[in-house]
Formats: sequence, structure tokens, C-alpha cells
Amino acid sequence: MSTPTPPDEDAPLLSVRDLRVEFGTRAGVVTAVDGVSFDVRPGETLAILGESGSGKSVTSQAIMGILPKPAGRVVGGRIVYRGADLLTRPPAEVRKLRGTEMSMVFQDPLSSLNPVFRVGYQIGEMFRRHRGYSRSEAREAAIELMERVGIPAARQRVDDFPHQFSGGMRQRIMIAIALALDPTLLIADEPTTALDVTVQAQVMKLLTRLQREEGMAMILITHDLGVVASSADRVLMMYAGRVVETGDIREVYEYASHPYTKGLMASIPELDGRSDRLTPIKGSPPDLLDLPPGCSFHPRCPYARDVCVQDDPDLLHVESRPGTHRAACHFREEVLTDDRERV
Amino acid sequence: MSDVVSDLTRPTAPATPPPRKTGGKRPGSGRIRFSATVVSIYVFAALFGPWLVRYDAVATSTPDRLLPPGSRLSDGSLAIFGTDDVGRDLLAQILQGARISIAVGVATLLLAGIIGVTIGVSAGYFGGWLDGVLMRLADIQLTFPSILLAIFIAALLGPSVVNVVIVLAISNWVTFARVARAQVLSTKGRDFVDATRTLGARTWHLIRRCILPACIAPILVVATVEIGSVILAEASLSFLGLGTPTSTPSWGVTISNGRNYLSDAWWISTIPGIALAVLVVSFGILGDALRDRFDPKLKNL
Amino acid sequence: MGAYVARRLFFSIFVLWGAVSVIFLVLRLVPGDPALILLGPDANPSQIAALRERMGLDEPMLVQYAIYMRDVVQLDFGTSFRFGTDAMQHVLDHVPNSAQLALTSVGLALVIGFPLGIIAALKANSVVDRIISVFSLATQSLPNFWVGIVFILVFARGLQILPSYGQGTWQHLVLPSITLALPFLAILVRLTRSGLLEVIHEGYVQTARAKGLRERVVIFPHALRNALIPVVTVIGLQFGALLGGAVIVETVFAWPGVGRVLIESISHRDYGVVQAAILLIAAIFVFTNLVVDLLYGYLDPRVRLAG
Repeated sequence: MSTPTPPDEDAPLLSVRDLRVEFGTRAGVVTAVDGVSFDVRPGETLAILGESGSGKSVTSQAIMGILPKPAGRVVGGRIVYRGADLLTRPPAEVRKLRGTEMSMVFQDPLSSLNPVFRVGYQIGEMFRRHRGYSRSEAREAAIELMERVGIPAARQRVDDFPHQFSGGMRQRIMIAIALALDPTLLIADEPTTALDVTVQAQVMKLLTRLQREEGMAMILITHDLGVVASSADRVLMMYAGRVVETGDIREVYEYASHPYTKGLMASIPELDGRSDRLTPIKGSPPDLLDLPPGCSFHPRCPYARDVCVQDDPDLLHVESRPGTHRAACHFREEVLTDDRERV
Repeated sequence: MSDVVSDLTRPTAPATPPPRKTGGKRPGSGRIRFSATVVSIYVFAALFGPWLVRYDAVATSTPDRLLPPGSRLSDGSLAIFGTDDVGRDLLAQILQGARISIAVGVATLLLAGIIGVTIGVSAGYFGGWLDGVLMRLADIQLTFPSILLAIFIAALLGPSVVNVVIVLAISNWVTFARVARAQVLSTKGRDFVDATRTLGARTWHLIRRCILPACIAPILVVATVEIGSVILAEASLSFLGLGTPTSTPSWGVTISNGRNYLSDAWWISTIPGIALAVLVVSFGILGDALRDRFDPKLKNL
Repeated sequence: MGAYVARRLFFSIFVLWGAVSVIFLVLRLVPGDPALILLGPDANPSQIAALRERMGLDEPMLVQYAIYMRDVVQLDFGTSFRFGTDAMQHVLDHVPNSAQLALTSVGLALVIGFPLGIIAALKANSVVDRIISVFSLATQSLPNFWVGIVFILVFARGLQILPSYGQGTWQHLVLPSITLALPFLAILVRLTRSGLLEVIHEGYVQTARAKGLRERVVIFPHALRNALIPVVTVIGLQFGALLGGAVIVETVFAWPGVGRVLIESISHRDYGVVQAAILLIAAIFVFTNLVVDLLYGYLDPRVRLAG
């Protein structure tokens, strides 16, 4: 990109400001992401947590510029990567960033890999299309990468097709593709959700190891609290397309200040217990086509009062806590200090 | 998984055609209304047309030969579509042809339906080797170009309306058999069938009371999808001289007949062709629309 | 791959055997003496007696079948009573003409149909897409013998820019090949469009975009290669319709191919030639489908490697 990397170490690599994404559906237009802001600094891991439909996947697709067209479109905000707003750059320029600067690993490795191409071709394509490698050079590079992500007998398997691999191995191939060109930012969208429980931990361990080795930043999208606890630095809680709470991982886990976060924490017995999936809180997830007025969580919230029905709370600092802990709740201090597990 | 976002990102969004702007609420109701109207006009014309405009197969009228559309005939009547090489009114021929086309189409589908449903229900109900043999047979027949088989059989049997029906039924039973079989297999597993069986119902009773009723809707849809191509096949065979005999004024015969007078009388071949094309297109649209509405999965059969 | 090829080959032979047996059966189910039917109305009693002897018509059915199969394997379909030459040879002599027509048509359909289908899919629901869809729906349902006649009327009689029938110059090929190509082209357009629309939202297309590939690369190798898999299967099946269509188009344009030989032999009751022509067309069809099946296996590794 034209703007050189700022020398400032603490300057954010990626800065999302007030992002709004709409989707056209048969039933009407929904705002899947509504005013989301966050930063990702070089080398750190930001976890985005939320139920299905909270807008976490759409956020990542918007950052990558791969929203399904023509249904989804960004209607507001900025996505600033290394000082340049991706939304105002020519598409061809943004395309060149994909795969080289920022990469993505998807949830289901079987449908994400092209069934009719050999895995070596799919990995090698990164080197051929972006770096101008020859076929044989790309193939060698693919084998090397496959070895790095822990695929046994890589040289024998480079010409196999995706369906000949197990789920865990397929996800390793996806990771190899994503990491081929040493990106600075990796977006992992539920990278272990579709895998067998036994290989989930292995794949997660691989991801964090490679992240450390490469020094790249990662946005980890998940609804698995265990995964977040073990590998993220900071966390962003999303609900109905909005950020409801954000802060350092320990801080948010231990001093949850939004009733939604608090409810989730209460639903697992111990923080470092084995990866329990989020048990949904009572009530049903919100209908994006028909969001309640005010705070969209209020119909499910034990703290809800009249003001919650009228006023949508902003994402504000939790005053009694140090640092960057913020929550979007009128009663964040009360929620924080309340010991009762009412949710 | 009831993931709203992944639902959103899936093709439900406008990337796939949104329901056409038809004014109707359900998908394809505009298409259905339009094509059903056209088909009804044809059926009406086929039923009553020949009474209104008399057609005499053997009548010839030398002064009225090859008159262009809109001409006055020697007996004072108007020939809207002109006359043919022996002075017969083309409109009367086309109306008669509609009768033949629709009759052959319906008769063929009835026969093919009976053969197909019988085979399909037996295969599905009894299963085992019978199912294997019958369905392999269906596979082979389906991979084989049906018009070839029709030409061969028609060539040996000689041209006649009954033979056309037999020939086309033989080349069209497979789809019915497949639909019936699929329906039997899905019905057989349902609880009420099991319950009836436990109560000691006999096979025939089960088929008649539980299985056949479930087959009717998909069979009707398939029949609508197929009738256009059956009518087209009849016209093709007749055009080749292998369908209805030359004395019968079917569309294929009339078009074939007109080929000899292309330089002098373009209308003899052209106008019946338009009549045929409009009917086939309408049946095509109707069949597609009905299938989309009632049973999209039939598309794969 | 080897097992897959072997399986398809076996199935093809099986289908061909089925076709041969059907011809045998039909000849014997139809009322009348098969020998009399085959020799035609002008045959004399000694010829009929000789053929009856040769076909083993006094023997049991199974023996007749064995004799028949032996003849088929040796490509011996007797002699054409019209020309007095070998029936199969007479048909084979006309294969090049038919091949010229059929290949031109298939070529035309592919060259025009694929791009139109891709454009329609990429511009789904636009005006262009609507026009292409209406065009393909109309051409698919038009009777091709009628289209051929209209072409003759317009281009040969009316505008007088192309010959109406016969064979010789490339101009002779234009009208018949377009007529034959139209329905095939229409199906190709519709299939390519729906095939591409079906895969355009698949995960691997999203992956291809996330990999930073150019849109052209995303569509062409990644999406299209998958979209073609169902298209190829249907092309194979539609090839039968194309062969049937060739019979009609050759008749309309008096094109001296196998189809015309078939129809002429039928009207002259030259059944030896009819049999040979039907079997040859069937064999071509089966062979083409074998090729298509192998292509299908090439395109979709999941099929090829499924043991």
C-alpha cells in the first residue's frame, strides 16, 4: 500500500471505525453489523465472541472485502489498514492485499477447499499468482508449507484432492494457504468449530504457534470461550450486530460488566474448564429484521429497566476499572459489582 | 444450524432470482396463469374448433389451390390462414391438428403413466432383485436416445395414430417409473403405512389406499412437463412420415406437405409450425412452473 | 482411474448389447416374417427361403439370437436390396457427411453457448440475462424441422443468400448446422447459467477471493470447473437428442448423411440398412457417452477416485 508502515510500534495495524454492513434478504434489509469499532495491533490476538447472527463473521468478511455480493454491502464507517482506508481504495489494490497482507481461515475446510483441484495446486496458487513462481517452484513451496503445518508425508500427498484428507488435515491445508505469503494479519473464522473435538486443540495449537513464529496479528472469531481464554489477548463481545463489551481478556472474563457477557460466564463452571460452547442465555437470539427498541438485549436482560427500552446505551468505559474495559450497558457498574448470578 | 448470518450469506439473497414480479403471491403464479390460459385456448379449439370450421380430408377444390392467408374461397368463405395444395382450408387443418396433437399427447402419457407407475410401484414396493433389474432397465433406456427407438419401431409398425401412441409411450415410461418408485420408497417408510401393515392390510390394499394417492401429485406434474416434448416428438415422427398417416391432418404431416410448396405457398409449413411451437412453449412454461411450485426436487429425475 | 474406466466401459458394452437385443426382439415381435421384412416387398421366394435358413428362423429363439449376435459382432447386416451392396458399408459411406454436420453443430453450440451462459450468470437478473433466457427458452422448444423450413424460406428463398439444400460448399453447411445447434445451444446456456449460479456462493469461491485472486481467476478455473460437472453429464445425454435431431435436419436439408439414409431406407422398406443405421447411431451415442463419462471423471476427482 502507498502509505509506509508507521514506525510507531503501538500504532494499530487495523483500525475499524463505526462499521455498518447491510444485507438484502427476501424479507427486507437487515443491518448485520451496526457501528462496530475496534483496533488490532501488530502481533496481538483479538477474539470476537458472539452467538450466531451477532455479526462477527460479517465483520470479518467486510474487512477482507469478500462480502457476498450483491446481497451484502458496507454502508458506513472505515476499515483502516496500515493507515489506508480499504473502503475508499480501488478494488484491485485491496485485492492485492488479500492473501499477502491479510489472510483468512474459514469454518468448514471441506467446503472452503475447491474439490476439483489438487491441494498442492491450491496452496501453490498463492506463490504462482502473487509471486510469479513457476509450477515446479510453487509445488516445492507447497510441499514445504504442508510440512510446516504438520501434514505427514507431504511429498506423497501434495497431489491428493481435498476429499482424501481428514477434517483436521484439511484445516491444516487451509492454514497453509492462508499463511503461504507471511501475512501480517490472519482472520480465523471459527477455525475449529467444524472439526472433531479431538483435533480442535491440535489445530488451535498449530495456529497460535505459527502466529508466534510469524509475529502476525490474529482476529479469532469464535463462540468457544475455552479457545478464547487460552489464546486471545483482548476480546470483543458482539450481540445483534453491535459491540456490547470489550477489553483485555482477563479483565473481561473476571469483571464482566455487560449482562450478556456475565450470563455467558455464568454458563460455564470454570474459566479454564474444557472448551464449553456458549450455552445461550434464556430467551431467543434477536431477530435482526425486527430488533427491539433501545438496547437490543433488554428482552433477555435481568437488569433491564425503562431506560433500556428507550435508550440504546453507548459503548462506554467501565469507570471503576482501569485500562480499556468498556461496556454498552446503562448499568455496567451495577452489573460488575452484582454477585448474584441472575441470568 | 440456525445461523442467521450464514443464512444471509447463502444464496437466499438476491444473487439468485428473487420471486419474479408477477403480481401473484406464490412463486410462478403469473407464469402458471399465462401458460394455462394458452393451453386452455388450444384445448377449447381442439374440442370445438372442428365443429365450427368444417374440415374434409378428401375434399379438393382446384380453384382454391394455394391461396394466401386472408383469401376468399370459391364458396365465398374466408380462409384466414390460406389454403393448401388441394384447396383445403388451412385453419380447419390446424384445428384438426390440434385435436390430434393433444389427443396423442394425452393418450401417450396415460399409457406411459400406466406402464411407468406399474413398474415403478412394483420396483419400489417389492425391492430386491426386481427393483434392481427394473431400474437398470430404466437407466439403460434413459441413456438411449428415445427418438431412435421410436423411429425404429415406427418404421416397422408403419404410420398410424395408435402406433405413434405405443411408440412414444414406450420411450416415455421411464420418468414415471422413477417418480413412482421414489414416492413409494418415501411413503413406505412413513408411520401410517407401517401401522396399516401391522393391522394386517394386504399388499394390494396398501398400494391402492396409501401409495397410489401419494403418487398422483408428482405424476401429474411430470406429465405436464413431458407432454410438450411428447407432442413435439409426435410432430417430428409425423414430419418424417413415421407418425400419423399422410391422410391425417396432423401438424407434422401438414408441415411436411408444405415443404413441396415453399416457393409458392410459405404459409402451409409456417403457420402450423407456429401453432405447434406456441403450444409446446406454453406446456414447457406450465410444467416448469408447476414443478417449481409443487415439487422442486423432481428437477433431478 | 483404471477401475473407473473399466466400469464405464463395461456399462457401455452392456447398453450396446441391450440395444442390439431390443432390435432383435422388435423384429420378431412385429407381425410378419422377419426375413420378408428384411428383404423388402420385391424379394422372390428363393431369396426369402435362403435368408430364413441363414437367420435360423425355423430354429428355437435362442439359436436365432445366437446367430444374430454372431452377425452383429461381424458387422454383417446382410445386403441392401436397393443397392445390392453390404448394408453396413452403405451406412458407413455416409458417416463423414453426418460427422461434418454434427461436429460443426456441437462446435457452434459450445462456442456460443458457454459464453452466453457465463454472461447470463454473471449478470444474473439483468436485462442481458433476461434476453438470453427468453432466447434459450424459445429455441429449446421450437420444433427443429420447422426452424429449418423457416430458415430455408428466409435465407434461401427470401434473401437468397444461402443454398436451401444439398451439400458441397461451406454455405451448404450453414443453415443445417445452425438448425441442429439451436436446441443444444439453448440447453447449454441454461445449464451453464444455473451451474455457475449454484457454485458462485460456495465456500471455495469465497476462499478464492480471500486468496486475493483476480475475479477472472475466481470465475474461470475455480467456479467454472465445478459448474461444468453437471453440465458435462447433461451434454452426454443431450447428444442423443442431437443425433435424433440430425435425422430430422438431414431430411429437411437433404443432407446426405446417415440420418437421411435411415429415413430413405425406411420409406423403401430396406430394413437391412435400417438395422445397420440404427445400430451405428446407437454405437456412436454409446461411445460419446463413454467419452463424456471419462471427461466427467476427469473433471470431478471425487467420482474418479471413489473406488
